[in-house]
Amino acid sequence: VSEPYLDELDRALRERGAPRGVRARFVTEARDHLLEAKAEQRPLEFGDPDALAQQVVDELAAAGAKRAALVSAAALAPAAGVYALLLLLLGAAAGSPDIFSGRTDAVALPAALALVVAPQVSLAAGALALLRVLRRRRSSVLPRAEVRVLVRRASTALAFGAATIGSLALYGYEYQAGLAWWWRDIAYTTSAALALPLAAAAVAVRRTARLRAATPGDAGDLFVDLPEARLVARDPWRLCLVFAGAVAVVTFGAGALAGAADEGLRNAVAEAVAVVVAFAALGRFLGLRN
Amino acid sequence: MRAERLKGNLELLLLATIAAEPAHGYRIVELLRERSAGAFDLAEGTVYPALYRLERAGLLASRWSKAEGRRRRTYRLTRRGQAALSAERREWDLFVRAVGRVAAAAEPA
Repeated sequence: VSEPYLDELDRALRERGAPRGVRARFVTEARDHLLEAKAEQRPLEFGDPDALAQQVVDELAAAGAKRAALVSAAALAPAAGVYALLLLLLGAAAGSPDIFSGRTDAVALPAALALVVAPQVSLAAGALALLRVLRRRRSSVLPRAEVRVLVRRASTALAFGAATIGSLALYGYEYQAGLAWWWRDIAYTTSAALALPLAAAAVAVRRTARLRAATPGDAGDLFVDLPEARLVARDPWRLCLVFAGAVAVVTFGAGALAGAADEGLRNAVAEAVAVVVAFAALGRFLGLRN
Repeated sequence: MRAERLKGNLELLLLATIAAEPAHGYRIVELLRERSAGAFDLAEGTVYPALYRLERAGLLASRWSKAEGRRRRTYRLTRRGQAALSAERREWDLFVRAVGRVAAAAEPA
């Protein structure tokens, strides 16, 4: 049997980031195949090692990217639940402390800001990753650009999810004087516990990021995820502005209903600006616009 | 036969080949060649990525065994694979009949 050929196959798989288990399995099966052909004295064309390795890796990358999005969502779901629960309990834990009452403003203020912004970015990136998986559920191979977008969305969702639970614990520490002890304890304990599934999901995402897919094609934009949105606006930037406007209206409405129209207006403007800024900063990175 | 045409139908061919009996990669290629009377001649290594894909989709299951002192992976159809094969067969029959009708209509009388 041609050991140099098998070495070539192993090298081609390794260079493209195929995990050790996949490499070992393919090379073992190829060896068995070649030995069978040799025993029957039958000439065969097994295939170009680089082309075969690329085929394996392209399919692994597509499946891995979809799995990474699903695993990230599964890891983030309990974090979202804990976040929502702690926000609800904040009222019972002596209400929201004054924002300038933290131990150190330089730490407390970013923690409080992250507590508002990070979960929204995490939710948006995670939801977009799931939407893309849904749209591509029947595709066994995805363009390299699309694999990259899925990996970026999953890793962004995880990173901002981690920032959310980190800022929960930090918020509890910084504003401890104004918070009930049990709220702080829940924040510390759950933050530590939730870090584990997030880290496990990050490993899965990183494993996929190592695969060097090579299928040509582009990743498309927001309209691949939400084709129906074309009814609202024809380009991603316009859609972003419409969405920011809708978020502002809902936020203001919620404030007005709660009898705090002034605060509602401030929050509405802040939310709309945050949507536009996030779209400008992350839109291309997350494959929302070309 | 054009490689692209074969590639497009490789999943159906593999499921149908393995449906009769569990088989390892080399045997699968052999059966494909025999049953197609040599029409399906492909770079044999391309069968493996397709087998991995079908296994990931839950249509095949596989396990290692020993044969002539070396390790060998044997594939078998799962229940889901049997259902997928039936569905693929029905779709293929419809396709062949439809293409046949269109092609026959184009023949000079």
